[in-house]
Amino acid sequence: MPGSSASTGNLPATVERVLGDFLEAAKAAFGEDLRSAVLYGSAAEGRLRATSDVNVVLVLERFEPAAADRLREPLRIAQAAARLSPMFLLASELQDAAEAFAGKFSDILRRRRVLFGPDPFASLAIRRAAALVRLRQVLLNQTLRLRAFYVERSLREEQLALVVADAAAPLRSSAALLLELLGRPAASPREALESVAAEEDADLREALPRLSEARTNRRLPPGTAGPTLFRLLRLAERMRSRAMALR
Amino acid sequence: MNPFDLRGPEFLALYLGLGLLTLFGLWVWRRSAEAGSGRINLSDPYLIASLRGGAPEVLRLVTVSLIDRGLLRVEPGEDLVSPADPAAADVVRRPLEKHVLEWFSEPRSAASIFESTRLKSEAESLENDLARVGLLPDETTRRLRRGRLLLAVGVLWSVAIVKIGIGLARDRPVAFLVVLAILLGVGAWKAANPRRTARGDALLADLRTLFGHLKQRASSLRPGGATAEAVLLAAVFGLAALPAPWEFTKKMYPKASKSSGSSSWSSSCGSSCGSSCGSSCGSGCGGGCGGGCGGCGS
Repeated sequence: MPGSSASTGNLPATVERVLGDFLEAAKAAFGEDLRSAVLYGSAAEGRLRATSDVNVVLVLERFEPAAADRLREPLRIAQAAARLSPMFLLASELQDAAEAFAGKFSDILRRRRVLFGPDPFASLAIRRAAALVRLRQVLLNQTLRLRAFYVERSLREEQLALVVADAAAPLRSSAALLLELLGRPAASPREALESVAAEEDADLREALPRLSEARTNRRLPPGTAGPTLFRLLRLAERMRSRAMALR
Repeated sequence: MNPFDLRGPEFLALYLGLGLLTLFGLWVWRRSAEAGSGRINLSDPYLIASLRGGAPEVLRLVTVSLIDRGLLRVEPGEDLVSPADPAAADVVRRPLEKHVLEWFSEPRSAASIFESTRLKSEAESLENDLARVGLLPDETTRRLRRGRLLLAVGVLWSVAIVKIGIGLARDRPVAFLVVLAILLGVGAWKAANPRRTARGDALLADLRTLFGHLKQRASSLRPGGATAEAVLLAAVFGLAALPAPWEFTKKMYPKASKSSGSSSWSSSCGSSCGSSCGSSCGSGCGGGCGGGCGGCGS
């Protein structure tokens, strides 16, 4: 459930502090132009992992060079200390961005916490047609990338584990969007992917523990990265088939 | 009972106890006097490096950062630094970076950077900024430190002198007491005069906590300078904290790349390294100076 309090809650103390400092710096840098600051993703639901980014969207009236310059130093500290990843979005771009990146914005609609200002997503709706187009596009893109990465990198197995780790986020958010379009929203993207995989054969389901392992450790046991990548590839293809069948 | 009437070993034990108590008191006094209040945000990696290890650490970090950004080049397995881009000096913003690029406008050994009095002086000027906010001792702090040190050494040596006088009058050996008094004097000097203030130590500890996660995920960092993660990691924890892609730093600055963590730099190291590098390094002391000061500073 999206919250609306300024408290970040349930975050490690360092991340809380980095986020607080960044927010103060953003207010000082953009002044009246900063409309809202919203934490989204796993940090917003207090399930941050060591490998997770801390995602923040700053909704602005204008993006001026002088103001952006003032945020450069605080941002590089926040990136280094807590992997803070900001999005600078103009209020006028909100609807367009939501439809162009329907997967990401569906996630924001599901998991967000307003840190500052009014909730800019409270009345945001993503058209079903736009969400469908974007979902198919993301899944097709993911499929093509996984194939290319396999051929490029599988002679160095440790590199393949990183590809598996990086595939987690788009696959999970795609699964969440797919379930939402099916009218069965999941509690989190991770659970959404588990739920989607549960409807597939046992071989495909084997990919999920490996996916989590790669995401956490950035490595996989010898001999497992290749088969895992192929299972994820099949999973992406299966999800895309289901998305193609939706109207 | 008059403690000056105690026999040699008993008096030495008492004197040692008094000495340790004095050193502890001196340490506590200094820390409470220099603790300061309010939070300081130190976001500049070069200032952080200066706080941790002084001017040599700053010069090392600037060089490594410019190599990471592709503005300087180091041959694999060599310590020879050369320009990578003739226009690099126009790209960088900071005068110190510009001047380091100028220094390496012709191929030189990495450690040669310690020979430049201009660069050394520019790197040292960062320490003035740190002193202004109470992270390194300024003149007032140094004066207060001297006062506390004189008081402590005055107490310790007065007691020792009285007992030495009594011992000599009674024809007793006093050599152990003389040695102990000198050792305690040295200990008092060290307790009263660390390189950083208590506030500086606290800030450095705080930065190590803040960037602890960055250190843990160091192996995932990628070279190229797109983010400031590598330079901040090296600023807070030393070059030794950089992961495998920065292996070249080991050849450039062997000692600095072997140890990380707290600095044991002292003013004596600073001056001896600085002066020897600055004045007589031209003929073959470059490597020795760079490496030697690395050990002190990192």
